[in-house]
Amino acid sequence: MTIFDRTMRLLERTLDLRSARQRVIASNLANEETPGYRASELNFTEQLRSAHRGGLPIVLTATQSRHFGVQGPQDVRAVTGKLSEVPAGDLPLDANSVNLELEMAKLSDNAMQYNAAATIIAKRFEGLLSAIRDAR
Amino acid sequence: MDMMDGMAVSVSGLDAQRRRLNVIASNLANAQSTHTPGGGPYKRRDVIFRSAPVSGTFQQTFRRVADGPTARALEGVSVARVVEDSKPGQLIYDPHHPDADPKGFVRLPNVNVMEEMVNMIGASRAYEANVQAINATRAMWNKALEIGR
Amino acid sequence: MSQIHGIGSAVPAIPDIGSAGSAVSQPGSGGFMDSLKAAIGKVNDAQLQGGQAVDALLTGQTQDIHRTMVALQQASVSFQLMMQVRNKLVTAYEEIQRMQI
Repeated sequence: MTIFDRTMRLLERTLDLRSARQRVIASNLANEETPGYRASELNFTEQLRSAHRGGLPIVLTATQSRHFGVQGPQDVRAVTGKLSEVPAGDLPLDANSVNLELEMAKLSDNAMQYNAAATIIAKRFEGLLSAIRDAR
Repeated sequence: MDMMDGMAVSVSGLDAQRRRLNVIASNLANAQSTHTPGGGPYKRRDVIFRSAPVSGTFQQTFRRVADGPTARALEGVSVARVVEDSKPGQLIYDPHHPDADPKGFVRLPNVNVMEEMVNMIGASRAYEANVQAINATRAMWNKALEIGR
Repeated sequence: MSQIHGIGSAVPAIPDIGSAGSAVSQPGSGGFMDSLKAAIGKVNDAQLQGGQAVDALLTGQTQDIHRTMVALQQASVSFQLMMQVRNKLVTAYEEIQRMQI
């Protein structure tokens, strides 16, 4: 267990992505009554899984390559998630597709996942530091 | 990159819903006002919401983890306009009413109390949802702080 | 000597922090000093990154505190590790000194 290993990179990237997802959920909640607003969501578990497994390198789209450059890291650090519209069934009169209950559930879930990852990271460092201090 | 912006988004939601609640309160308070300084009965008011950017520039909002076909800069919400509802209110016959017209009819404000109550519940629920979002984000922030403990 | 070897196996992070190749448990003058210097360099880098992460947070460049905290802890771990290694080396040196007499 090192401090720079793959799991740590995965944990850190998870925090980045969960934080971004939180922002998307907050937008949906803030615009719950905005006419014409379509709910978005950020999904990344698939990408994370395949990047962590070390599978095919992430194919960067034209827009992304402007930001990252094609020589960027090809592991979990390159995972940006996919931002898409939440598929909506019938739209109400104001054409707003936000499902409040669904977004609230996502809110809790996302926060818990973030907190779990943060706690795991904290424990790792705690363990490392005490191992170092006690090394005789 | 996103936590403070996420908070700002939720705060914009709180702000918008609070303004909406104020307008609803005004409607309810004036549900019986048949006479206004401008003449005529009180006209019901409503807010029009619109998505709005939360941080300074579009460049800033696009510098995010995610990028994709529906990446948007408009994630907060703002009150675009407060509009008056010009639909005429009920006309009742009450010749003894101080604001009765020559024929004895009084034009009531176009405020439907039931409808306003329903709107108020909706606005409260939306307000509460934004409060939950802020609490969740704050809890995340605190948990991240504990990494350094 | 066993003291130094003990460190090397108890905390396998050293080969990661140091440059590619020699671990601390291989004392040969050139290789050892080089890898030690490289290790110190890495610790310094970690410290700098920790400082940069804090600056970024304070100037609003990044808003995610987890990046800052992780960078700070990594710097802390690197530093603590180095201090322990230094202590062990000093102890071992003193032992060697005593032996020569």
